[in-house]
Amino acid sequence: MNKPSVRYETSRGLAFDEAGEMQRLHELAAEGWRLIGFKGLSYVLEPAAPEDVVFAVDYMYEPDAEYFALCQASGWVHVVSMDKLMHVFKAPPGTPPMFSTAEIQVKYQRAQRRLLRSALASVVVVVAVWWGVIMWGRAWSQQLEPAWLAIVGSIGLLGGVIAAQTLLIFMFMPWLAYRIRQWRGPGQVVLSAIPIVTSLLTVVLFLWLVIG
Amino acid sequence: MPRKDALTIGELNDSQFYILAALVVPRHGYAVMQMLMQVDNQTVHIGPATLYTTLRQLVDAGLLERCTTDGTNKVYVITAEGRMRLSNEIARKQAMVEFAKRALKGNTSDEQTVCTI
Repeated sequence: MNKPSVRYETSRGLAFDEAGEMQRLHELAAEGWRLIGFKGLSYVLEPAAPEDVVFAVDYMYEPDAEYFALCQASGWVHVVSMDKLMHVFKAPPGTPPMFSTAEIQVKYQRAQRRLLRSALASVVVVVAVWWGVIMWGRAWSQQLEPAWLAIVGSIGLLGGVIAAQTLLIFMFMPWLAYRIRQWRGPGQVVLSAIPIVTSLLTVVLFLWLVIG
Repeated sequence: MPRKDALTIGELNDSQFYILAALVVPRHGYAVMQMLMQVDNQTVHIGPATLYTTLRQLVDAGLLERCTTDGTNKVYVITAEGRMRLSNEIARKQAMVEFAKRALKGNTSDEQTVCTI
């Protein structure tokens, strides 16, 4: 049976499980799938000859050609980049690691500092939406008129809450994951509790204001 | 905004020290890496990302300069200020080593306190 021309594999997020994702890319390469890019939250892979390679990821904002040349000289071949910041490399097993233990900390520091502003911006949006929920809840509890305003406002607010949660997941949590990695290294960092807790908190806050 | 690191307050970290020393004669970044890989005492591991960022830091601080820029193969060499900083760092490190050596031999003049734990 012929392989399809392109395959999409959902990423669990390089920020959250770098070691696991590198292992996955290693297994996919061994099965004959070559990473050619990213699309949304997925890896884009194309059929290729199976190869025995290990993967590494680095964070460097807008590096020039010299960076990739130095990586290649140390045995690590550039595969793909994402957002001018994240770069995936591959090398034959046994190649000296791309980073020493001390260098790994600096690598996450680079990523964390680059994402700090957007992380702070996402927190501002989340706080603003919560403030909106409080105001709306109060207005609601005081018999909001006319009814269509209450409905339109609620839908708008729900959109705001979803947008805030999305920002939290894609902007704040990666930053936090890199911040934690500065101490913990490339293993798994589980942060899925954050959006669950903040979502529940929003709902509870709203219900408490409406009912209470 | 770059934070104040050891470089701006006058000290060189290990990577900066090795890279400056390797560039007393002009070399490509690649050649610096090859040279440092051959340091056989296992005291140095400078990966490509560290080399790339450190080269930039040292150029920005005026301790290195680029002689030629032919695309990916940039050639770097130490500046007069870089030489001065490297010499100062050698003296600082020598003083540290001397102090520690004297301490290990028990030749310090400090009064001795007995550890009772």
